[in-house]
Amino acid sequence: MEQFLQVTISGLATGAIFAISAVGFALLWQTAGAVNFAHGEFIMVPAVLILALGTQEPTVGIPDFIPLIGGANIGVALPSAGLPWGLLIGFALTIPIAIFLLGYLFKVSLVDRLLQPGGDDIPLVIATIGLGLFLREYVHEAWFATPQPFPSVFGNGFWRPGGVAISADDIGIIVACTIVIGALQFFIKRTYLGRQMEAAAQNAETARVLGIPVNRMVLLTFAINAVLVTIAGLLVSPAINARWDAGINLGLLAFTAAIIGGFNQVRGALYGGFLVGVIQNWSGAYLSTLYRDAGPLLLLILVILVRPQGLFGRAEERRI
Amino acid sequence: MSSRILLRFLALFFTFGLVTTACSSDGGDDTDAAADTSSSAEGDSGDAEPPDDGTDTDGTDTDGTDTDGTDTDGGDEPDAECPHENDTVLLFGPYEANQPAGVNWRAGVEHGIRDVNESGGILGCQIDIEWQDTQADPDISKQVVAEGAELDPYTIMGTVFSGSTIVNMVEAQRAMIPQIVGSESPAITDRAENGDNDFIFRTSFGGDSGAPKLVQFMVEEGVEKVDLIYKNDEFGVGGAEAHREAFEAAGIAIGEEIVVQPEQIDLSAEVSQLAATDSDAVFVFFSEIETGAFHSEVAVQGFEKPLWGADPLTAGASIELATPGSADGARSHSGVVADAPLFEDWLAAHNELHPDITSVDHNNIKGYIGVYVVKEITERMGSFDRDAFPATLHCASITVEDEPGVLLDVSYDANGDVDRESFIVEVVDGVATVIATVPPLENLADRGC
Repeated sequence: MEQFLQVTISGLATGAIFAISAVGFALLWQTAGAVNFAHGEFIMVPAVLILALGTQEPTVGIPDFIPLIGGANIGVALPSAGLPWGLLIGFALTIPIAIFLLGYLFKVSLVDRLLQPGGDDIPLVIATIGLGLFLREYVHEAWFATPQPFPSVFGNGFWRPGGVAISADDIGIIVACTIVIGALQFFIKRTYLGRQMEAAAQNAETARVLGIPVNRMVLLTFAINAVLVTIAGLLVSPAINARWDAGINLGLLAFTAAIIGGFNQVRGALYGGFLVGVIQNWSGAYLSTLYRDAGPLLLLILVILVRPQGLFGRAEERRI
Repeated sequence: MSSRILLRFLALFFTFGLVTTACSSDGGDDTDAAADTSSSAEGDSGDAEPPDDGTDTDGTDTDGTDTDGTDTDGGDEPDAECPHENDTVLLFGPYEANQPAGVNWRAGVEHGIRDVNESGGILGCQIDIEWQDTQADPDISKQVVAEGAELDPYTIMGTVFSGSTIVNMVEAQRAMIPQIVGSESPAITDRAENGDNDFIFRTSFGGDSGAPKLVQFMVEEGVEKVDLIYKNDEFGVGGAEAHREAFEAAGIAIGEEIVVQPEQIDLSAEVSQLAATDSDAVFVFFSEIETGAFHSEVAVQGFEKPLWGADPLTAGASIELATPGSADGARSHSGVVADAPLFEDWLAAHNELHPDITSVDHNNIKGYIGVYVVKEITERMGSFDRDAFPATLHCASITVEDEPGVLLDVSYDANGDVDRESFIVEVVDGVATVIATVPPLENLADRGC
């Protein structure tokens, strides 16, 4: 029983990583009708920026060829005790950069050009796959190629109630992930602004007729997504390290979680993420570690066959 | 601002960045800084080496007994005219730029090349090396080595990941180019499995050579039953197999066997499984990334069984990736240990050359030694003869007196495996500390010599 609880709780913590990563997929689809296959890299890039801007340990500096800063390491040392101010400063500095690069610039340079109302999604899908590849190689060449340790904002503490070990990072990420996704769900479903965003995504023309500033709503969606990926980068990187190729697996598992949970529901990402994490751990512990990744993929196939809108998604109809 | 202007700005921004990276001698790549002893695929522009004036540049070694690898005098090397164009001999370096092991290997090789060049090179030739990233992907590494062979290098220095080496060594063998690797999987030098490859040479122990040494020490420590956890790739499976045989031969019972996927991030299920067994120790055979995650999870779950393993278990890169303090107590058998007092001077010189590498470990030393093995064997042959290289190195012994750059006396068997003194290491306060020295096996007669 102790082992079962251990495996399940650890699976929930890993699932929270997938959930916070998956929420961006659901948000962009639900409010902008866009699929971003560079999403894993969108989480990796802020993690690298946080590390570069916020800490001096490990030694990740600003790449030489950012012309305005010219190779300076403007990092702030991470204190050994108390709040990780260096990390939080890096996080705060990264948010506006992410909003500009991963929100505004991404929207105007790719999404606006490739995603037409009622049009084909494929050009954007292909473009974002290419963008992901570009971001990976860019970080690999410009910053670092090896994994960099990433300190946890929740510290390294742990407890063992009843013999079941749980770390501060595990608890922190589960709680933070639940709060972030809950708040986002509330914002979209319960606030005037959120409903405007959703309306703009569902039918832009009608929304315009109703006086909703569609362009502004879509821009807001991308800005929120940029903040979300920055939060995800901060939360997931202690577990997976800051790595140029971290986005590949993360993006794939987050996409799986989003589909299982329901691609058109933000809360679906939460449930999907937890399910993927727990099933992965159960498969590893009770079947074989070789089938660790097979469990979630089997569930994915079942969901697509039986309930294509996802376990917690709603069925959609599309005019062809 | 219109999107068109933004797009142009973005294009200019990244183009400027890429051009700057290409032109920079120390920018970007984590191994470039201060290490440009040679030109490379990434655009290093071939830094000028100091002319060989036959003088001792550090003035510290006058008796030929320097074992710290900082010997730069070269006064006793024969004067020779380099037969190669531009007085330069080319080596090729395939390496895993996305893995600590690969980056450290490259840094070690660059250090060796710098020192050899400063002491006059090999037979009057300066060494140049062309690096290419294999991304730790076996298929890519095969392609990289095939392309590298087209450059007609004298030797190939790499790779480190066994899964890559086992695939790409075929290309080096086909081109009949000696290949010096940092890989540890037993299959690499097993003639029954490697197609009777004459051209492959290690710089440290293979799993099968190191296993008896570690297991003997474990027996002395009273270990009677051990669980095995290893990575599901050539390195992990091969290493586990070699140690399984050694455990059985030594009478240590094997309990649970757990296999994890490469770069698996969550090891909680596996650690909790290990905690539930009645074994009195765990043998761990991962690379650095998995080892770091494993140490962290072990600390969280309060796992108290002693951990034993090979070099990566106590490597600096693994310790750096783990939660601080979580690797303490882990013990391994290591061919070479960067933090050992014996390598103190070498480490200081290496840190000076590569201040950007914060976790110097066995792979740095392996790369360094590899260069000096090439140098010594070439000088014994008196020419850059790739065909004669294997026969000269097989069953050869190189002492520190012969060539201080090998750092420790070393012997090669008939398959390209090494034998030499080695170390049992324990992590103490986050530092790999030598707790025992293990003598060489001295069984070359049983190994084809």
